Amino acid sequence: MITLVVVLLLAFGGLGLALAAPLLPRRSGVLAGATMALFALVALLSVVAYGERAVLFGSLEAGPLTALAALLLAAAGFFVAWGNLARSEELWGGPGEFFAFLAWGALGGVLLVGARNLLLFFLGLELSAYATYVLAAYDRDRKESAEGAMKYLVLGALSSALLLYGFALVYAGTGSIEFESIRAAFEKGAPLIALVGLLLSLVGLGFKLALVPFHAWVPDAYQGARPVAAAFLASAPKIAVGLGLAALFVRAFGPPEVAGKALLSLALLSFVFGNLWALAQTNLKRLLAYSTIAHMGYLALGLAVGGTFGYASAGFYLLAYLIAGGAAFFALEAAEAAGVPSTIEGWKGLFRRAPGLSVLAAVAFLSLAGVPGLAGFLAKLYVFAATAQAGLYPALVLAVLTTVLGYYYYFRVLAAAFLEAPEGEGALSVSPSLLSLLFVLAGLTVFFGVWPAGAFSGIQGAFRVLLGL
Amino acid sequence: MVSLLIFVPFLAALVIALYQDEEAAFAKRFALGVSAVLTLLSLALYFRYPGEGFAFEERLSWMPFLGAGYHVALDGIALPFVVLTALLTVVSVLASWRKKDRAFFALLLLLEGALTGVFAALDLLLFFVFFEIVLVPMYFVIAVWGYEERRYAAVKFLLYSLVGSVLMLAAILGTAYLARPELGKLTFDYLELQKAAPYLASLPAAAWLFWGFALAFLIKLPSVPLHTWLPHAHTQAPTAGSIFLAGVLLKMGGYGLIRFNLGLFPGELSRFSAVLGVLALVSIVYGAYVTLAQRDLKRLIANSSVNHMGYVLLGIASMTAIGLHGAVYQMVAHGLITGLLFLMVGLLSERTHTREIGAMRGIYASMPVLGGIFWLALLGGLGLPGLAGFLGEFQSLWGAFLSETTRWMVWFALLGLLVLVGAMLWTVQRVLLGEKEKDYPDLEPIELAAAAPLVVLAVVLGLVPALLTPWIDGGIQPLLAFVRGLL
Repeated sequence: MITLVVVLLLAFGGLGLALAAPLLPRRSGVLAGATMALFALVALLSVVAYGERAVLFGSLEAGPLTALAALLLAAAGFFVAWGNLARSEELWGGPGEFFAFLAWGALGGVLLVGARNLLLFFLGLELSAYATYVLAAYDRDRKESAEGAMKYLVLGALSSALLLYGFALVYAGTGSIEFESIRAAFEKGAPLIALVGLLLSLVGLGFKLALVPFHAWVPDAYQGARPVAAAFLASAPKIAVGLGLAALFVRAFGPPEVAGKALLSLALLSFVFGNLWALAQTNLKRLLAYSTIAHMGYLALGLAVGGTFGYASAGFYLLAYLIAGGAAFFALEAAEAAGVPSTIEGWKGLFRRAPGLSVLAAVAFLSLAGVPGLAGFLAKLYVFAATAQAGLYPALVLAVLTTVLGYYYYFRVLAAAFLEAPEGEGALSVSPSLLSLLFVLAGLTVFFGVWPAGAFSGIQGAFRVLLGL
Repeated sequence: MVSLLIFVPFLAALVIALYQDEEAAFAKRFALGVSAVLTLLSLALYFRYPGEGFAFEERLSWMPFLGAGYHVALDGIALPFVVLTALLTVVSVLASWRKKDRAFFALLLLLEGALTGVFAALDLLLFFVFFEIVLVPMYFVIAVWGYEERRYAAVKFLLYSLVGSVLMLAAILGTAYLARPELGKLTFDYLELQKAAPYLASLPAAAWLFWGFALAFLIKLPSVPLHTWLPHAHTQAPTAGSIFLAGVLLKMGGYGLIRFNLGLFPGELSRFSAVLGVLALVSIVYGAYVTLAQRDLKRLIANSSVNHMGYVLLGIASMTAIGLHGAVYQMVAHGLITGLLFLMVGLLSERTHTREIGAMRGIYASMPVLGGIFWLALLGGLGLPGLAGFLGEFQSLWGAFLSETTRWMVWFALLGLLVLVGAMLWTVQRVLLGEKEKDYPDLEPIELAAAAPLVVLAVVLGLVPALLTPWIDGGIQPLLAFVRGLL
């Protein structure tokens, strides 16, 4: 029942924010505060909901995995609402709808992960996707924003169409949209047409997860969006689809070996090419976009390996990426708000002008690179360990070697910020709200990098229930 | 106690980072105080070592779902390096007394903590964590405070080290998962995994695992042909960075080879000992010739390290007690003597504003104290009997002579020894001897204080091996007993 409260809170909370926005045109701080309170409440409730074992209306699973998704998504929404404090006055169209779409984006993710049939899965996915389309386009006065959002929308619609087509084929092959019956059909030996449907829906989900070769929209969408919106784009849909893919595999498909192999090849392509392309970037948002592709590759490796440990490693990866990836985008936001463009050139000498911001950004980048002591390292370690457990040694060697590329481009950013002489003069005034947010995120990065056991066993427990162990 | 040696430096670095002080006046005094106390603490552990096996063990639960724990302990192989790390931190802080950035001192302390962790960790994942953390402060020390080509050198150092260490991570995971059926559980504990060594040796993957570890350590050591990062990094690093690099970072390679390659894969080590021996031989001879050809004083010492580390590898490849003994002794001696050499070159080039050998003459005449110590260090570098380096090189060669596989290599290694003697003496002649050209201020008290412990130890360990030999024995003998039981 608490899960139901979470769903209703997100739905009506978003509605309330959207309705209240025109009444409070100059009071974005109040709206942001209300959004943060909403997400904090959702996070608290989802911790309680972790213990639930129920099915709502025959179609929504109220269990630890749904609660985990709600917790992570609420955290993402909370951080983004916090990060938006610095510049929300300047948002075109007012901040109210921005916050409402955060709530609805999170809601879509919760529904998607908890779905027990293809229909709710698809609806949840679309709700989460529409929210991010709007957020990507929110800066519509800027040409790049409109362009990036348009590409995102068109390719996103295409991927949804493919997904839907795939689901239709699954329905045609198995005669049901309920996960349980589909699973029963697959266990008896799925008809070919259902298998084709499964692979097609994998393509659609690959688009959403930004896996190579379905990644083309990512750099433009991230570059066009404001960094805070990109932070949400980079975390919330990934959390939803990452956990949702595991749920879909286990609840509906079994999963058949061919799907695992397909996902494994997408994973390999993503971390190899994502890292290679990131080497050539000079715009920091594009760099982070390509590095996201690589990170999603590692995540997909964990999902493809599967089993409790493989899924749990992917879950921990999402947690670490939510914190460190989010922090990297918030650092860009803080720098942009202070007038520093998000390019390697622009970040030259940032340490001299804004030492606090630079050090906190460095923690985020080092975690993304995978330096031990920070959460990003353990996330990679768990995925690699799961790969070793599955005996996929060639994939393991490829994966560890590509992390070296990651070090190279993340250290390029740090080298520009710490080693170069500054371009402009004088100290920058960094928004205190963003600085405190970055401080919290850096603290969490270190915390989960040193004491992962609690978080990991929580995540592992959720997947244990999913797998029925 | 061991954990204090690891984590107090981290905390001290945090204090320095948070305490606002413009000229780093507090930072350097605080760093000196902390590292001096930790040196005394490490010496206390050194002299309380019971004489055999692992001591001062500490365990904590860390990642139980993965079988990885916080497990640290010290044996006679690790203890000398822990003391060396603490001591060289004191020396580095003193050598950097003119630096005005508190971040520099914070990074030195981070290095100290992480390096101590590397030598103390008995859990393979914990070892890897410290092994990797070392890279970050070292990168910044080179890249921010180095000489002209510091950026290039720092990136090269980072990438070389990383390629080795990520492959080692794959090997660590492979070892633990492959040993799981034999041990009945997943564990990264070194002592547990040792029990699975006979089983691991029977696997076809053993050679891959062996080389996964070996590659990381051969890069760190470094051995030809993986040494090309070293001349850049050592030459471009600031004095304190060079002292750390040569004094301790390279030792992670030799230590790792003994601890993990010998301790977990002795069968593979004996299978590939000829390969390692040849690499060692090439490092010794080629390193000596390259040293002879250098015009930059700092580069000369950097390249002599390739030669010196060759003896370490040769001693390990021999797999004899005396050879392994020599390898450890040589590493400690090299840490002291090459640390001293880099210190002297740093102090010298601060005065002459050049590192060109051709541009310096008569240094001994103009600065008798600095010149004298530099002279002693160069003699130590060529392995003069009576100084610590001689005992290390001699034992390594002796050990190599006792083993069938590596016996013939000794004759060629002697050629390298000879060439290096020439290179060092020629350096003495070119730089130290001759008429004095210009007056320079001699060593200041604080600089002398930095050099003093290294000078004293280089002489004492050259004359009184009993201060180190029993400790090394306490580590090597149980290891060799274990290895003999397997082969």
